[in-house]
Amino acid sequence: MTAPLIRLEGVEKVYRSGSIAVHALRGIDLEVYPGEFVAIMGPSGSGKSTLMNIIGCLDRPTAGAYYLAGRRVSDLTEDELAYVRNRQIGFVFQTFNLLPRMTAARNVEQPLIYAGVGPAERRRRALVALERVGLGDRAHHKPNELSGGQRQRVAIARALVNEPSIILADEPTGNLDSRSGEEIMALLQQLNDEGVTILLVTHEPDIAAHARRVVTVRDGRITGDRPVTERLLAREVLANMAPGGELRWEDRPAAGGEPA
Amino acid sequence: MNLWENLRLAWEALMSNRLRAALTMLGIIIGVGSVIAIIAIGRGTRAAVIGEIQSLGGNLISIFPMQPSGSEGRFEMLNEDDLDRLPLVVPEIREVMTQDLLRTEVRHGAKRRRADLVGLSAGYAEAYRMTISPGRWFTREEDAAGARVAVIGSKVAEDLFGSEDPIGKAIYAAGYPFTVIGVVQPDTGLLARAFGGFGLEQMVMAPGTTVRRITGTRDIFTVDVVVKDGADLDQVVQDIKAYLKAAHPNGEFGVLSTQQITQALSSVTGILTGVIGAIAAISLVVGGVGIMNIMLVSVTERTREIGVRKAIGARRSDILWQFLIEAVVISVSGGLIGTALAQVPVWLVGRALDIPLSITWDAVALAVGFSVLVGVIFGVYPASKAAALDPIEALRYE
Ligand SMILES: Nc1ncnc2c1ncn2[C@@H]1O[C@H](COP(=O)(O)OP(=O)(O)OP(=O)(O)O)[C@@H](O)[C@H]1O
Ligand SMILES: [Mg+2]
Repeated sequence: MTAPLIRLEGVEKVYRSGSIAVHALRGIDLEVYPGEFVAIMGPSGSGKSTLMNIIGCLDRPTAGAYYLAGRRVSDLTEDELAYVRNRQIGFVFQTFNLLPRMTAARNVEQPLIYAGVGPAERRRRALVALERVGLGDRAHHKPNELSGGQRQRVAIARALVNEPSIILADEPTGNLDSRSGEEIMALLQQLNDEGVTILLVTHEPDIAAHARRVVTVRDGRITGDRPVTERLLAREVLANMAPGGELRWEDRPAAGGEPA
Repeated sequence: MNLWENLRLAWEALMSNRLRAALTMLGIIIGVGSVIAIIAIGRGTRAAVIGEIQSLGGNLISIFPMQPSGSEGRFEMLNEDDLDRLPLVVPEIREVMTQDLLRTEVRHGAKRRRADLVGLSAGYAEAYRMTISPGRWFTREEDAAGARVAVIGSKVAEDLFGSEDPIGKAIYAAGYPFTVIGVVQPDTGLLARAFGGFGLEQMVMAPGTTVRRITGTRDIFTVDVVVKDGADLDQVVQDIKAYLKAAHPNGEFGVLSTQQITQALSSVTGILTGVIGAIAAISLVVGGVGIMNIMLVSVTERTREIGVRKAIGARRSDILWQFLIEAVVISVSGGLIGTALAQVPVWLVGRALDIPLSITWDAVALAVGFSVLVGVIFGVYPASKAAALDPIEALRYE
């Protein structure tokens, strides 16, 4: 078998505020191989986001080792971490985190600026990425002119514009109604089919059932790790949703606002 | 760093909060505007004043009596002998001119008024660029002969003659009859308007010899010496001082060249410009602090944006440049607006003083340079604060 893309060995994370120490992660061992689709589940405060942040090179473990594509992340300088976040990882957040003053196309372009891509090429690739998430016709709209589902798809376009090998999505459907959420899952499944490794945090078993593997975290430890037996395919779920009774996603109001 | 993209981001940030941007720029606008206006006005007036003094003759030396130090004795004056000897002792002297003054009364028919009867050499009309209209100035021959001719100031002419043509008419000054041969128009230069000028229009001017005959003295009030072209003015001043020391051991005289006057004047205006400029520079600092303040607010407000940017691959330096360039864009925009607005006071002052004033390119370059400097100095702290933000903390920021 190929080498793991992500390998964590005894990863711990302790948050210290004054004299109080919070053990967010208490020794995580995890391997994720290229092309996997992993759902991370667990109760609130169990350390899912902390784990995602470490995997996404936004944060460093307090103890233990993290290898990304064979490289030990704790050996990387801050600029190298930024480079990894730019080229290898795409983030999707629960609250979308789009830049409110910019059009969808400009939002999607931003990672390419840090990759040193010229303006014309940037624009072209941003439009391609928006096409890919089905928003080619909304490229020049600002986030406040888009529905929640559309905003999250812009965020996905931004995450994949630099063709990363991993997409990290922390509760991407948390602020969306079920249909918009299903559409986001369809998109993630499609990207996964195209070879992108996906890690997804969710509270909802229905969403986790779209993944190929479910890892359960409790109290900073992995308590379960099993393959998905009855995998849901978002395209089929969408097809079974009542077509007439449902609004088209375009017309749906945002389920959650853009952060202030 | 991507300069163009950063400029665009800075512009978008400013445009999204125009009132705040404008208020933030105000300090820089006022600071740069006043620096620019002061430089332009200071330079322009200095050039005008110096030009005027130099037009009086760049090679003029005035000799005048002063109160001898430590004695209550009377002034020792120059006399007619000095007039003859000076050009012989100091060969660089081309011409010696005299000024004598007699406070008296002038009369024409029944009209009379007080006026100064000033005895002058024939060379003065040209040396002081007098405007004589109608009529003419007196000749050297008339001076030598002590002719009873007078050139009267325009105000004197108006008071004594009204609308009558004074040329060829007789007036009485200090009880002696004079024939009016010309009328002097008031001085119109900048200095005249600033300090009242020489007051030529209030004077009655006659040949020096004539006036000295009336006063019955050989003493001379003030001597103006015209130096030959190319002579070393400072050396001539020294030579004249040496002569005076020998000829009038008890006297004390001021010897001043136009060159010294212009030097003194330009150093005074230079100091003045410097002092006012320094005050204006303080307002630049105040403007800079305003920028720093608003940038700190902006960094806090955009903490989330900074977190997102770091998550998608921005390095510390990328964030640093973004906010630094935003600060510089604010201050340079303020500087440019200030430069544009400075045209107004410069134009007004130029019009009021009737002298050409203009904002020069080097002043604009200085202003822009200063604005960049202010932006960098006061932007670097907020920008480095932004750059140092921890991405997780920034993303969690509510
Ligand atoms: N910056 C921080 N400082 C202190 N404690 C923190 C910090 N970030 C997270 N924690 C703590 O670490 C633990 C794990 O937090 P984390 O955000 O990873 O949980 P989570 O599983 O994502 O929860 P949720 O499902 O609510 O998002 C929590 O107890 C939380 O309070
Ligand atoms: Mg979480």
